[in-house]
Amino acid sequence: MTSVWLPSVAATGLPGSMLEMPGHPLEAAEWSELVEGVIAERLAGLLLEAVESGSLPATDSQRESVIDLHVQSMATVLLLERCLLATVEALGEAGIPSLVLKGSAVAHLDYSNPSLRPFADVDILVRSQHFDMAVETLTSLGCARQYPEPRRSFDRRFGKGTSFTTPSGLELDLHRTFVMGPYGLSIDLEQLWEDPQAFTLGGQQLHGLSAEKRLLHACYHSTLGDVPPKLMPRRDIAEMLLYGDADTDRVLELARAWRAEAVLAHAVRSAWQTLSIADSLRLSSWAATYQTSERDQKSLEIYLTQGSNYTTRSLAAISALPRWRDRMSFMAALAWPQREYLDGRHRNFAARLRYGLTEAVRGRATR
Amino acid sequence: MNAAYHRSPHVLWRGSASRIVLLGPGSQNPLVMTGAGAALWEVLEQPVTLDGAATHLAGRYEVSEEKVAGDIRPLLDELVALQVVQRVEDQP
Repeated sequence: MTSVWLPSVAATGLPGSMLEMPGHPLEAAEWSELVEGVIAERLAGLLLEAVESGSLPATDSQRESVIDLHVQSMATVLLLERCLLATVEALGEAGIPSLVLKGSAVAHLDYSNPSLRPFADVDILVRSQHFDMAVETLTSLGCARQYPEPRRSFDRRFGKGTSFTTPSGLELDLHRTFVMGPYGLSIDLEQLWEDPQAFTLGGQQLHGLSAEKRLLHACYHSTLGDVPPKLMPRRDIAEMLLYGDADTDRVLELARAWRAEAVLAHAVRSAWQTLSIADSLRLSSWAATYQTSERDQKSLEIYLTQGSNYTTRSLAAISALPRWRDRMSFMAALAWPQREYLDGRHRNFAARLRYGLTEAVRGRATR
Repeated sequence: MNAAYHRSPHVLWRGSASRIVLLGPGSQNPLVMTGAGAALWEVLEQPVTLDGAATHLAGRYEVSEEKVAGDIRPLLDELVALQVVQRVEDQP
């Protein structure tokens, strides 16, 4: 069971949140349930803040266990940041510019104390034209690709990116866009590189997206990332909107250009509702009244439906490709992928097609 | 001649009210500092001599400066050896 107090922990320190905390320390079973949820949602920093500030009453042993949990999550974060620095340096030496996405960039650029924002992997963005070279560079560092691409250059042309396991067992995600499927293909990828924001880590200067694009990325991640959606991305959105300096006009302009207004509206509404934020901002008011089109509703459901997977999102991506030639290449790559891609997957075209159709039908049936 | 100590710019770290977690350059083993160690880390944000750090912490913990200096000297040496703190000679 999910602890009813998790959203309250996620809202710790947000002045506009109306969520309440328990008035006394939780009983052992309830506490264990809360800690389990905190680990899954990566909220250890906010739980510690809630306990240390006294907003969440806790026994001495509960407080000690939160401190231990936070220390463990920070130790992991530091190892990930060491990996991030080495990776950015190696990419730079290979002539590949990169931007830091999500975890480390958001922790340092959007939170007053980065300790409040743990994360579990390294996320790096490279340009599409550098993608294959970046994969080679990471492979030369001993990183093992978790999944092969269906066909050579598929990821560079159509994919969200790919995941690696580093020699020390950490996860490293190499991105070229924010999400797979139709919403990932409608982003103007070159715009992501405009106005990057610098931050310093371990004496090295790194760059993240601009404040407006970090906010939009958090919205994509919140709405289109996990099913059911995680709390941390929603907290990120609240943090960025309540304390950050993203220009609302620019955010709306980019969302329109990327055909992602429905994603933005859904994410902001969800953050405001889940964290019960009373403060009304221009963007939260806009999101509350935004009318999602039927077409967007269908596209969103592909991402929001439990059980929706790579196949359903891939099928949906076909219609988002503007050129017929790209659509044909996309379908051919999925229909007749290279042998490595098939290892452990569906062995022939008929099986893949059957699986894809089953998934698509299941996705429709659960709408 | 008086040496000053300060955090290495290459160290990665995170802090909460009572704990500092550190990762030195090239290390794969994070360190945790608690209590007075965490307080010392705060002081090391700016270059500080051993005596300066001792004065600061002595006031905070109401212990004699000599006692604090004796306690933190080996800790500073260890942090320097781990490359999470840098020692700069010739401070006025």
